[in-house]
Amino acid sequence: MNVRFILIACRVLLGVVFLIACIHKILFPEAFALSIFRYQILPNALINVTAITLPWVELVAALAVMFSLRFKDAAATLILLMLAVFTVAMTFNILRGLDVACGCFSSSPDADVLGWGNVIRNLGYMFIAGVVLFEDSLRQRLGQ
Amino acid sequence: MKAINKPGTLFTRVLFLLFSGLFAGGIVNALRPDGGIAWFYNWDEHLESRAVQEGIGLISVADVHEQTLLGESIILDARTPEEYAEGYIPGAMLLPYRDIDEVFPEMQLFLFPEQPVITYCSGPACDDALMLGIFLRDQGYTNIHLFAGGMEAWRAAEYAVEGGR
Repeated sequence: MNVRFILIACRVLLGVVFLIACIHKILFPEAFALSIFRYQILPNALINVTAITLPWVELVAALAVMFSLRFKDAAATLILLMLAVFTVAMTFNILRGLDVACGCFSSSPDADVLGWGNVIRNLGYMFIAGVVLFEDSLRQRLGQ
Repeated sequence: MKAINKPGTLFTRVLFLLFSGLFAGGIVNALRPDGGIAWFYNWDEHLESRAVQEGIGLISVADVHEQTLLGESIILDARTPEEYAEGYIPGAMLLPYRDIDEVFPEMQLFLFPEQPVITYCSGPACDDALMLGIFLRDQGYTNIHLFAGGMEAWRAAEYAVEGGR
């Protein structure tokens, strides 16, 4: 299969995942704030600030990774950083046995409870973000 | 492959995207018809925050539903008898917090200290379930979980309701 096609598919996949992830959070910031609160990781003073801004950072990164050749590497870096933070937070809560919803694609506090599946999925997305980040050098190396 | 002219370094491009998102979030929140959410909210006073501070666990609607099927936990409805009569979580027993002194001695016969107990009331806006949980904790019960969403979340999840209409 054409490597170029795979690399484009990686960017589209990341973008779509982050677009889907941010929509509910943007529409229902109160519910997202409650999801963040239930993670019990951020200081309470930062919960609403994060609920207001994080979904828009996700949206900007999603659009940039899909549509901007100039910013795709920066978007992939941002996505990689966000995924790393989310994954650490999830792992921490799973290990301490906190029974909270993932808050990944739905802000409903009663969505599916966090599990190792969420962590593995995030690691997969991180790998894809890494591929996008190094897309240019990969293509140069492969001569495409 | 044609090289793309990228502005600045990778670091500055990341910062640009980050601040674009932060800025957009702030602007849109300020322009929301409902006024948006407050930038700072006193979560310390939030029901669930207080439960955690009081050493009471939290439980989701899905897990409460599972418990109604497994029957491992005693589910206590902290609302009034009138509210209870309008429908309750299957298997839940009425223990109105407002009449706790009169009702508890009888209920005590069904409970032992390590018994898993779930308390709930009408929804996130009522704190009777939390107060009941604190009362039970003070009585020596050690395995108490607050279902903060209460009947509101239960009905929203469209699980079966016992009694009532």
